[in-house]
Amino acid sequence: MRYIDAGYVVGLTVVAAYAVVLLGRRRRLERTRRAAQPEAGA
Amino acid sequence: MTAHASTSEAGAAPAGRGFTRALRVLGVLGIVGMGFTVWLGLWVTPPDRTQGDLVRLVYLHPPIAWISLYLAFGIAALSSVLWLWPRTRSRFWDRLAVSAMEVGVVFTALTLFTGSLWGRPTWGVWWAWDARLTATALLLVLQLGYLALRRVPSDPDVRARRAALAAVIAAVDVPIVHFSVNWWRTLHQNATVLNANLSPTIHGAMAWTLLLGFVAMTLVFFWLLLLRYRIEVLAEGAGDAALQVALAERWSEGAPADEPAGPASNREPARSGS
Repeated sequence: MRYIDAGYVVGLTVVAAYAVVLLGRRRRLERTRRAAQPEAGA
Repeated sequence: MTAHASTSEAGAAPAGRGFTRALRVLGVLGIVGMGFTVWLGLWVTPPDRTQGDLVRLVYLHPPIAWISLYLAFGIAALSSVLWLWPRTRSRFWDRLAVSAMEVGVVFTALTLFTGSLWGRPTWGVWWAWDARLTATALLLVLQLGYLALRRVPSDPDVRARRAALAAVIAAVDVPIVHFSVNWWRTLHQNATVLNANLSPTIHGAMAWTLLLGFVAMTLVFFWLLLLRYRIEVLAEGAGDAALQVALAERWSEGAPADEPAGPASNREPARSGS
């Protein structure tokens, strides 16, 4: 069973970690865009 | 240089409400679907007659491979063709190609990892230079090569064309991976679902759980793809904004001391080196 457990744990953790990285990148870029908007409008 | 697709084309446009909602729905459905797949795969479905409990990896490994080989690479290759075709050329296809390729890398690496975990107890080895395994490893190298190529600094259109050509050439490996089990004698078993007779060799609860695994993993993939696409749009917008700031600073440096550094659009840029 350890091979099965390792497959599920690592597989799903890697996908989840990648999703978290993408969400973090998107949040950072959204924040940068919002911060740049008032400057562009000025 | 082809000037069909400007960098600013929808570059910094905020995501629509529909896009955000679709992203959220896909994410929730994908996670719930994966939860059900894990529950059914590990606790509900019966063990296999020959493989015993090891068969439970079938609900994970083939869905991941399906994403990596057919969906991610298929989308990346098709988007690249549509970018290269002058009539359909748009920055959208370039963004979609790079997004699909990056998500695909994660899934190809997981395909190799979960396959190796399955191979150890069934074949007795972690790895074999078998046709299917080798062609899949080559696919991962090609995907990483594509992403490396995109990091070479150049004009956005030149970079997009170079990357699109690389994706189309790399796509030759996809049918090789798929048919490798038929063309050569390999350790890897033949396709369970998409076999030559289109007659699945899996039935009942196991078949339904496998189907759910495919659907859930596909939803997760599209969630990640849209998320990655949004990042590409935002990054392009941030790049444009940074360029505008740098140009404004450069122009203000070249302006006379008594002239206030106003909007750059009112002045001619300082031409250096002439």
